[in-house]
Amino acid sequence: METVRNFPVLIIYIFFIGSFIQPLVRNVRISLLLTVAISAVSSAASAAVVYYVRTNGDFLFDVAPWSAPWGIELSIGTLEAFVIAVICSVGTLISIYGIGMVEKEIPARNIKIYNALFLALLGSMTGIAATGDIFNMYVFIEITSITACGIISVKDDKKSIEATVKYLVYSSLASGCILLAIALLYGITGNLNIRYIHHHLTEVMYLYPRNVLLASCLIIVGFGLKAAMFPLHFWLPDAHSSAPTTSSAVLSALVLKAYSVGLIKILTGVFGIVVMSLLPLKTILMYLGSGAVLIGSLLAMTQSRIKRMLAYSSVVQMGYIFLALSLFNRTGFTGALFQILNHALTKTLLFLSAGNIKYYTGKESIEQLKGIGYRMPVTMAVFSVGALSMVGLPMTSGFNSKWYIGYGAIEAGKIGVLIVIVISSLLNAAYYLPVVVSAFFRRPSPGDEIQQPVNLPWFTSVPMIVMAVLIIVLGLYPDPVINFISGAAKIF
Amino acid sequence: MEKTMWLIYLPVLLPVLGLVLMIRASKKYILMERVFSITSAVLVFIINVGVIYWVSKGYTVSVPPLKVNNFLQIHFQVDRLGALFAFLASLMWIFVTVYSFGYMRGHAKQLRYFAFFTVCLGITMGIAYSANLFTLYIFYELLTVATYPLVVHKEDKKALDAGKKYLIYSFSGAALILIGMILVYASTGTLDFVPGGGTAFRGALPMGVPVAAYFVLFFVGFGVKSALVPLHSWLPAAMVAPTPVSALLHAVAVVKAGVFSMTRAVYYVFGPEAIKGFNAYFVYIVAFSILFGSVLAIGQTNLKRRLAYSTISQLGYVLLGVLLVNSRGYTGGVLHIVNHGLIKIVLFLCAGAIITRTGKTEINQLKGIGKQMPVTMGIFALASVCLVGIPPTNGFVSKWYLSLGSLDAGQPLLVAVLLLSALLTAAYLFPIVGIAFFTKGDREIQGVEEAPRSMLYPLVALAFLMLASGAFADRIIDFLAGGLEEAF
Amino acid sequence: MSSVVHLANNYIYIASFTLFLIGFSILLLNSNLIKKIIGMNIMDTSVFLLFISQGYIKGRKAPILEGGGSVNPAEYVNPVPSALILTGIVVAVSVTAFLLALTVKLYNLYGTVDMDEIIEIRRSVDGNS
Repeated sequence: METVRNFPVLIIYIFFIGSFIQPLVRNVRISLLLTVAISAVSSAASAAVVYYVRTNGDFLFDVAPWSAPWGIELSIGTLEAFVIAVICSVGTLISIYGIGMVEKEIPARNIKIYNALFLALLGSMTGIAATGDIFNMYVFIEITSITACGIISVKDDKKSIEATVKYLVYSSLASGCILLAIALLYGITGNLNIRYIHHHLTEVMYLYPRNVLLASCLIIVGFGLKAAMFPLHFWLPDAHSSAPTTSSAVLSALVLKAYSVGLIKILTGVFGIVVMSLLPLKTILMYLGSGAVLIGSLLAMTQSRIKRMLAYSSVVQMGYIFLALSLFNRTGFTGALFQILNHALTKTLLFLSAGNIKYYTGKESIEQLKGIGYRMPVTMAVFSVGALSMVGLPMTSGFNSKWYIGYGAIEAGKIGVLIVIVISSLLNAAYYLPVVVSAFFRRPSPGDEIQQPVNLPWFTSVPMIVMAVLIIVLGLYPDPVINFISGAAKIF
Repeated sequence: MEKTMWLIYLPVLLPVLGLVLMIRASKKYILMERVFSITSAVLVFIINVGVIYWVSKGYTVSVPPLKVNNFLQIHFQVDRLGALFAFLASLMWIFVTVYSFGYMRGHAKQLRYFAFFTVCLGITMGIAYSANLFTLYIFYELLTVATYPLVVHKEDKKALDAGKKYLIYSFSGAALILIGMILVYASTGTLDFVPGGGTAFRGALPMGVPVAAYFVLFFVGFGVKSALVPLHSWLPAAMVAPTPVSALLHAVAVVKAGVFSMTRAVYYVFGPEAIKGFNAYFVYIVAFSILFGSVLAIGQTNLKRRLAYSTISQLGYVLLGVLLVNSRGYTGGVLHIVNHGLIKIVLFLCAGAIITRTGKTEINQLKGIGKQMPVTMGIFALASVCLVGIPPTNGFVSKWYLSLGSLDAGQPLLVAVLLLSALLTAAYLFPIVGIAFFTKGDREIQGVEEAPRSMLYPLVALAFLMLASGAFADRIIDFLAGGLEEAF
Repeated sequence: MSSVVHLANNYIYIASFTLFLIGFSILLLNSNLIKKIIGMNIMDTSVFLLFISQGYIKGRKAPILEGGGSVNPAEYVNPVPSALILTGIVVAVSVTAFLLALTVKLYNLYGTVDMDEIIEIRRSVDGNS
């Protein structure tokens, strides 16, 4: 059982080793299968880690023979194990889908590079979640930035390259801020290990209040920009909508989450509840979260292309996470973590469906989707499940997220947050349901009719169906997950 | 006394299974969807007979709850109120399904129609059987989703616009219910339906907010589906749906689900004690709805829209009875759920028969149709009499109890409202009968035949039921009386 | 008076923040891609400067071991920041390389390295941004 303690490091290793092997692989097929294989193995390993943490509690793991604070240590708790499991499993599902679809969107010469970047991305996100050292986290953050930008630009057309440049420029801005914050924290505490910094910070805090304040602001701005926290979300619609389908899915579903988890780790681990209470964090997160939710929804309603609408919807869903965090209580935190899982599954599902639609029918804009439900029944059926989950229909996982966040809001006495969430559910319906209605209840434009239903290959349809089923299962029976993740909210 | 009957999952789930099977099977065998629909409806009804039998003996039929998370459970438990609603709905479903066979012949997309029609049966059963707010909320939302394809069946612009309006109103109402639900849970720690209401609402003000404010959320939220003025405009718009849909769903299932849920909220969540303090305001809002609906009905030239506004008015009667919070008012209100359900279905099915045979939708086009379709219009006349409330019809019984309840509550003004509304009802229904029988028909009407048999037989059967509910009203009242002690 | 002394004592902070702000604003505001990259490098360098300077302890020598004998950590400057910054520099170089490659691609596609011009061209070509 103790070997499970090695698994987090091993997961990171095999992702990177897999990534480095990719250029040596013989052909595209094997490249794609290798990605799936490594992701699947990592998922299994991450499940073992989850089980281990559930039975034995949090643990620390020294990567090298030197223990903290000289060496890098991984700190795996409930939050980390959960996030790693989400990253690996959703990544596996995306890579299975990729077997069929990657070749359709990415030029053949770039596919091996794409897979290399994909694996490295998953590995670095796992690293952000797993690590207990803030400089190590910075390194992983940078790898994530580069690979995330890489999987957009690998498409090699005008739009994606331009979007990549924008994303990378803003990402570098944010990285610079984070690095400066790390420098400041190192300057006053002399440590880079999260636990040790926390320990020293409580002593040193009053000697250098401005450093701490500045560092915390830089952390929030830096991570906020990377996690698309309103109003620093403006890069997202371009980046996520011009990327190839699987990349959009990874970006919206996983990358944003990895950064928000990094933010949570630093805020709760390094700064701790004391400093967090001194800063006006609750207010900031609440207003920014509400702004994300309401304004993001309004912007999403104006979009005519599906992928851009989904990108704005990601801003809204991330807003829920920040709203939940602003409540500073157990239920809210549990809601935030559940929302991580829920949005990862649902947004992936929606992006993959959109990719299918684009590939099989060439349609990108919502107006053109009239009657498409009969041509692509499986795709639109799972899209409807995802859409209903976003709207928050009971019996889907989206409802559970909203319930927990809403209930947490009442516990914290902030009925305004509850009202914001309920209003946003209605707004979500305003831009998701027209797609579903158009697909099934409107007659196709002349010239589109008389088409046979498309037959999807198994590797395209299976991941989507699995995710749709999971959304419903988690809607009806989220208990095991909830019980597990509520243990992560110890700090409150 | 509780009786565990696992069988009650069946009415809820069977139609859903039926949906899946229908989709698969009807590719191979034609008419499979019809077989499934009628089989499901009959099976569900039989089970409800069993349920109502046990409930009348004093049991509560239930199944153990399913835990969704630490706060929420899905729980079915059938008491008298629920059993009555379920029995009524499933009985009428059988007839309207048979009627649909005739009405929908030759229409497009029948598979989708029958599939969702049957699923709605299951969802309505879910609402009837709910033991707590969360279960009710789930099925309430699902009902909106499942009735949407039926509303937009024609897929033309009018239908889609009506559908959009329907969704906006319904989801907004549901959003308010969600907020209310979370607040109730936060204040009282439970969402279960407790006869007589939760104790937390008596006296103390939870979270410093007056109980009335909480209730407003539910009043408005459930009020949408109950077509309460001013939240009613989705209902006339929804008349673009095929007539069986208008009949069953928008005269019985959906709107009755709305008033049923309101009853649950008043008696089983908040409780009469708590509501008594402020029900006067709400009662007058409902009274306004009664009159408003009747007045607007007179102005409608389209037959189905006139019946829709009539429904808005009649639902007000039910809500009035419920909100009066006394035993005779309650009896009158719940009785009217049954009576109005039967009457309105009969009226709509007649309308549907007329539309099928003549294609005419406007009332002034129906001159002299009584000669060609005597049975149909005769039944229509009969139902009109019942709705106006002339003794000894069923409509009279419920209005009598409502009037007594109003007097009990010290609101004699409401009796005047009821009388006025009865007059208005006559004013919008009797002219139709008059035009049908006592004016000369024009040429187009001359060649028309009586309604087809598949539509006529259910119509006649329902008409008999309608008369029976008047004759046997005392049976129903006795049945309810058992539930009365619990509610109060 | 004491504030001037204070400032003078913390000249490293001042220098590094000034450079940070300069780099930040170049990265954000300038429209030329090459200049943005330069700005990013200035910004990163400023942070490196801050970091490394944290390691300096007055009066000690560079952390290079000479000859045998025992090692007394009190004689040397803190080596950790320098080691960390090596990693940081690598990261900055990688990002720079990636950005430069993208710039080359953009130049080939649009004929300019000015972001404003590129956006203009895109807007006029396909009417949406």
